[in-house]
Amino acid sequence: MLFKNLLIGWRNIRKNGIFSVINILGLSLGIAVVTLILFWVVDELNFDRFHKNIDQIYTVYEHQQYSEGQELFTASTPFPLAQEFIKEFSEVEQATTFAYVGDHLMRYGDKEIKDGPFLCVDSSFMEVFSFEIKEGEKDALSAPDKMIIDEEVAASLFGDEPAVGKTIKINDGQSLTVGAVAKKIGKNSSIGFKVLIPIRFLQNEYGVDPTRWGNNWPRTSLVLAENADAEGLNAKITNFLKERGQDNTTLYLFPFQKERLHSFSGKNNRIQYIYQFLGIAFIIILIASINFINLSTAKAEQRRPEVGIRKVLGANKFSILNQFLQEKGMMIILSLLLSIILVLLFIPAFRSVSDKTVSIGLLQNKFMLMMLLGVVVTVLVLSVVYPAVYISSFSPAQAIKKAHNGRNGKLGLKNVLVVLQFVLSVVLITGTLVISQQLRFINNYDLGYNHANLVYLPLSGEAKTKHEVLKKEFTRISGVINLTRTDRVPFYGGNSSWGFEWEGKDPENKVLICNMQADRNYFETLGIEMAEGNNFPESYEEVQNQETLKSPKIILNQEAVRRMQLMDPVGKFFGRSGDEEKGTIAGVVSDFHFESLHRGVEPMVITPLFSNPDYIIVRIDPTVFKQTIENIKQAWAGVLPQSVCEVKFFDDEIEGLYNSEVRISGLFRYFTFVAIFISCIGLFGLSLFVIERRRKEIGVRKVNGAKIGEVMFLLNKDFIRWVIIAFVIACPIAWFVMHKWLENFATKTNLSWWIFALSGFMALLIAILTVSWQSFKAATRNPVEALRYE
Amino acid sequence: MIQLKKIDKYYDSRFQRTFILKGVNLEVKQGEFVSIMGPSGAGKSTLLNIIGLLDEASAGEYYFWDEPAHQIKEKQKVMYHRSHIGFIFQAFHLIDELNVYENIETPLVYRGVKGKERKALVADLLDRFNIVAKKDLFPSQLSGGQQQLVAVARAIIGSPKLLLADEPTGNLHSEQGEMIMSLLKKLNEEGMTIIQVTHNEKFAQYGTRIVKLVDGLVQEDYPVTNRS
Repeated sequence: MLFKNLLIGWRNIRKNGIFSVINILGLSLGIAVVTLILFWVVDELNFDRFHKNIDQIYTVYEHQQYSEGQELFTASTPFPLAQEFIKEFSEVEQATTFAYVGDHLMRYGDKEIKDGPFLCVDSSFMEVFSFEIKEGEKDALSAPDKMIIDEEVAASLFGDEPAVGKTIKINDGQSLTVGAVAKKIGKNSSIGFKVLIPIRFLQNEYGVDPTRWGNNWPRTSLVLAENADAEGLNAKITNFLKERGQDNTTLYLFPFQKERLHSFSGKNNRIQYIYQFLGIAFIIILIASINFINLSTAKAEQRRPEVGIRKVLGANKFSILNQFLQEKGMMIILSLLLSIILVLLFIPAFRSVSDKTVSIGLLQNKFMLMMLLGVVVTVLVLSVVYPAVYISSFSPAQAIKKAHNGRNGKLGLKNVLVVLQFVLSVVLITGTLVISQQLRFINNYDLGYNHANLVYLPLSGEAKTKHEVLKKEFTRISGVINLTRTDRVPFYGGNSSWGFEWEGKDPENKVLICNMQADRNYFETLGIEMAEGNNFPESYEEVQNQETLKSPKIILNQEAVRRMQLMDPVGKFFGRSGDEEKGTIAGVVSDFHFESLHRGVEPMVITPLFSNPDYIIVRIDPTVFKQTIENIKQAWAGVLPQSVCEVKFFDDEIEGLYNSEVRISGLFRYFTFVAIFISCIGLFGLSLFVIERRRKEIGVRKVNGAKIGEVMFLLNKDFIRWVIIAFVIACPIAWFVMHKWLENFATKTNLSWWIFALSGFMALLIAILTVSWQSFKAATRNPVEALRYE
Repeated sequence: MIQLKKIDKYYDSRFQRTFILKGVNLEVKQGEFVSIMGPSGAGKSTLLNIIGLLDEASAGEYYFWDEPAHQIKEKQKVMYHRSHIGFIFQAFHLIDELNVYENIETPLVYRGVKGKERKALVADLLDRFNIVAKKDLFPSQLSGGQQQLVAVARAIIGSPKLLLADEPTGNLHSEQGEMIMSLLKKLNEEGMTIIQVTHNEKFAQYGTRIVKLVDGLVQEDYPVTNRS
């Protein structure tokens, strides 16, 4: 019997040609895309789960509060914190301290590479986190001169030779021996590194004293005992730093497993993407199911006689229901099979768009299976059970009446569902438009400096000490308009501090001020305006020639002046608390963005460059751009023949700040496209059906002199009305959703009326195009054909 | 076996009541072959539907196998459809998606007859009706007469006690019509009770009794003397 019904299902599928294609294609496309979305979601949810202790790992966060509600949430903590916690609290089983220090030069024999990130860690790092070791011992870092590198670094330095035991020279300074080789870190780890080196490196390279409490830099991660009371410990550590002199700072524990999706500050939560994507998945399933419902019930009208006959032949309601369920089951099975093929086809593209290493193997994941099962059940209930119940309720006598007059079907529900589809489409289109708009807005946002044609060269090792020669050589190149040396480029975070004094300071006033060193060319090179006062009076060389840094001239940005509540700043003194020599404020620069636009402009003090710079920033003449880059590389090779020259473009780096948004908006666009495509084919099917039913009416109207345009208007009218109703409903929903989304950005575009108008117009256009295909065909048909029957 | 007492069938619209049948009294005994005749709109099909338990009378009493049919429940009706009544229609109403064999088999499936037994019964009937060669064809591949032949086969496969035919020859040309009518007559002679609705005087003569219906009233009711 089951087989028989499946067979009938198959015959039905074949008989209904275009409708079956629409149903199966829509459903399988929907299921395939939803599977991909679930891949993404599961991957996000599984982030960092490979650590064995994941349930017990906590990160220590600082909450620093300053005047005027300025606050900072950071995982940067003092160096001694980890060891202190182990001593003081029995709940803490293990603790580790680690700090990112970027890319560095590594030399082995005549091979030299610059790679990273380097992570300065203490010896417990590998015990707290479960990174896999490929070669050597996990506890390699317990010896003072050992380092761990990943397999890629090992391959590029040593080729196929074993790496353990070999010695690498870092930044042409200290040497460390490879103690172990780690497997390449997967994309599902929030801690990424290529090289692990002892904390001591910081002392040698940056002069950091790892015993001092005042310096907040590394992260501190704890492993709590299995049944430890995290909340209780949280209360105990809250004032830990207050008792040690940092009276504006409280400490909190944050579960490591939550870090990927929930930020400690509560802002920029990635979990919202999970919700958005699950939302889209749900919408797609809904749209595909609506197609199924609409077309099945529409078709059901045509199957009235069959149902009647079956009842006359002795079928009861249940057997009819059963038959239709099994018939539709055939469709669902076909759709599932097709969707598996589609998933396999889509996976490579999905990988490159999403930057995730997803594979079909994820289907073994329990959560994934549950969700997929949920999807199938939802589809079954939404799209099969309802039409089946509907169809089985036909009464036999009315079902077999000879001429079933065409226009009394249940169009009510169909209308509602079509309107719902359009509402979803309009919301999705609006979402896509707003996201693109916001990204464009960010890309074209006036950052306060001119980033076009700017490049920078990171300096490390020998290059750092030879910056003066490099500068001299670069200046000679004709395409170099301007250049400057600094310790900070305006994309990455940097140091900040609140220990400053200035003339007329309110003792209660605490301002967190970012700091940066630069030579006097900085503002001219980047194109930053002076708002008040003057640039640094002395060049780098003049600063260097002073025996001690006497009364340095410094420059503030406008935000700093505002937060410090300083009137007429120029000429007033400004300096670090405790320093004997106070600097003077030479000038104030207009605000410029020196971090991503997720954050606004923070207060900033720029001091003259008095140690070796980390970067050279060059402004290049755009007419000879390529040639100039070549010349710079040659000049570098002349000065530092052994060392790699890296030229990075400002525009690329700025784009990189919004990588995650760009990727997600890309995915969002694809998913929206699929959703709209599915609703389009559904609409197409429905128009086909509606027009088929009105064949006779069209024929009669044409015989009575209706023109093609008039007939088309008649047929399109209903659909246009649906779109307009949907638009009215969708606008507030879309506004609300996108308003929420934009709250993630400190700098955001306006939700202007034209975005809504445009998406409404697009939905209308899509609907009219889809429907007109059929209505035109109907309107141009010879009326005799339609009227010949009866 | 069938008894209708003062059967009314009407529809209420806002201001008036439209009668389809009014006070119809009719008794049909086992073995009869009744032809219901009358002009269009006289209520013939409605009467047949009421007899076949597809429709319900608005008033009056109807006894089906001495059961008060105006009181029986949906479930019981399904049971009667499965075992007591066979239907034939003007438009054949074969199921398009099923082939000849499957169409004939359907009532047995609903009655829960086992596969082997079904096969034997269907094969018998195919043989008897001379349509073995057509068993794998679909309705759209058959002529009207052949379709109605299949419909008759389907109607009688469960050996119902009563066969109801609603203008069985209405869509057929005369030669095919005669073939179907002789078949019905033969079935009647084998003992089956048949009630048919027809417009055709000549085909009415195949039966044993004629009931003339005009405007919902039984106008004449007489036996056929010259059965053809």
